[in-house]
Amino acid sequence: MSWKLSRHAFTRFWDVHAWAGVVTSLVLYVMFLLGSVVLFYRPLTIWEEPILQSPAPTGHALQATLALAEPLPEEFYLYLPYEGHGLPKVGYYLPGTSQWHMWWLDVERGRQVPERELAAAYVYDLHYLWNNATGFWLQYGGGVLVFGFLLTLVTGVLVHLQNLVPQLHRFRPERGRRTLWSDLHKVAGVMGLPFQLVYALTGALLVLSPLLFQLSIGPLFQGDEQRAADAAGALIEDPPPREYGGHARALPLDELVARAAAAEPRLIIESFIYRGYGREHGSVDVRGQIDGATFGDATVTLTAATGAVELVQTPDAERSVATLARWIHGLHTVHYGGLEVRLLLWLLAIAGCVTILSGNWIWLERRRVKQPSSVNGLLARLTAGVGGGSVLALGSLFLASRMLPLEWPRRLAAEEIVLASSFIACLLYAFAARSSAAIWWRLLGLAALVFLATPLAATLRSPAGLFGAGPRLATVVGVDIGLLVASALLLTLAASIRRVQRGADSAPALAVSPAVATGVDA
Amino acid sequence: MTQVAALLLVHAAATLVCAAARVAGRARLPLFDAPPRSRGARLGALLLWLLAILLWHGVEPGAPALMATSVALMATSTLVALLAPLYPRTVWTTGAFALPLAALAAWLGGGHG
Repeated sequence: MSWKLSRHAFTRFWDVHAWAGVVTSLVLYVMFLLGSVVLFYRPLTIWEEPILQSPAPTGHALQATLALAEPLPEEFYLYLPYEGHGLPKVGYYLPGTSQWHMWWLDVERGRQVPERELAAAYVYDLHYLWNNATGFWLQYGGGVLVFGFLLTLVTGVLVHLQNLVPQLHRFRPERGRRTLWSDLHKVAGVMGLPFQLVYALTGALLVLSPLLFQLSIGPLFQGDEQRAADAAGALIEDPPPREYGGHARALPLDELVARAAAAEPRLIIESFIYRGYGREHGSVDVRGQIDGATFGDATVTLTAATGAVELVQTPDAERSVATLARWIHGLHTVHYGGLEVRLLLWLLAIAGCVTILSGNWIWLERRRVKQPSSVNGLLARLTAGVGGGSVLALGSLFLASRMLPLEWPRRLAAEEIVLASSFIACLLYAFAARSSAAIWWRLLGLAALVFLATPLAATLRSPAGLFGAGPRLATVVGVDIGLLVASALLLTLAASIRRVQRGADSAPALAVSPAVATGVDA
Repeated sequence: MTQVAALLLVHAAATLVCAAARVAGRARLPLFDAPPRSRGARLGALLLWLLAILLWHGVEPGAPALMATSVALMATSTLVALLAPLYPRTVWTTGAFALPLAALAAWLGGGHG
């Protein structure tokens, strides 16, 4: 059986691969890069918020904790401390707005502390292009772009199918720049192909599920939103509004927890969602994990006023759509394998970034001589500006989160401003720089310094880190070490690029020119 | 330590497959030039990967064990393929040491350490 494509098919697939790749590349690069950071979301949240570094209070009734948050709206979330550290947290949309706010509930001191640190959350949200300012349209746009990425993957496999296996190990850094980029693109792309496929598919479904749900209500469920929500189950986060009846006092949370535990004794409770709080037909979802089950998300839904069990969803007692949702979520958010697998996935995510950027460099290299144009010059500068600028903006956000006082009321807005302004500044620099060859090493070098300074600045906010006065916490020390490793890697990369650039400046005949290191023409 | 042992086995497997690949340049390893040897290396790599899944299965159920070792295989294969032409000696040496280290880690992970 021959895998060889006809010349016509090969050319068409090649064109689709190149165009879909170059159109989607930079946004996808940002999503991949931020995704590589989001792999460490939980450690980052502990690192950034000293409240999460203290042991959780014990011996207090859950209802007493909930009472601290009163008055509460009809719909809200309550999160319990994670792995014995931190405080319970309540979150809801401010009534009449689309603004989500959260408060720590300090039951020992009898006070609420507004959420004051969101650096990791910004990265998490931007990973799927969510921001309060842009709302859902950018998130959905990101989901559509991911389908463009899937198209790139499929057409890439088709055009390389006959040589896929030999290309797995063909990396020839001693050859010219075009071969170098091509080999890098193929090795990183082909080796990580299953990873990229799984993440593209699950990511697109996660991001687009609210939109797909809305689109399906009319044609599939004759406009019956409740029936659609029942069918979609865990695939959608927010069920449609429904009538919760008259006023009725909810049972104490401790009583509801006891009933949920009786309905599902294996449930390790993590959070609660109240809907229709204080109403006759209001419900509470008691959510958590089934210990030992693969992607063991589980929910027990009770009527809050009576404690009657409405629904128990566990991996061994759920509908197929819930199983699908659990696997999509579990695969994408890595509910398996522990830290070792997350570190390996980080490597694959970075390899994904390299695959995406090297695709652009191949595009530029192929057209450098044949079709020199201002559009390609623009793409070269954008690639360098976004490529290096995203890393620098990320570092600036983390440094700002350690520099700004925790009690300063405007720090959340300030963090966002630092993130956005440093990224925009990098883009402006990329367009203004006299020699675009130097953009990469300058941005990466500066990012290395920022990452290096962050663990030192972290001592201003917490003593639990690598350079803190102690007592140290392994997670916080681990994040500090991670930042230092990132700094060392960035510095090495920047120095290598600079060395290659300088070498090429003094010996233009070298096979490796500045563009090899930077992907742009000097 | 059991996971570390499994990861080391996967690293050895990835190195074996890369060593058995017919490539030119510094990454070429003459030891596996003969077709029977390269076939043997690939078979050995497959067995090592299966052994890694089996080891991981002692810690997590089957599906996560398969996924974790597959992720490890993709990541280490990418690293080995990119680093072998640049630092061949380091890559082959770490590959060779991965096996005894995996045995040691598995022994420690089995409660003997």
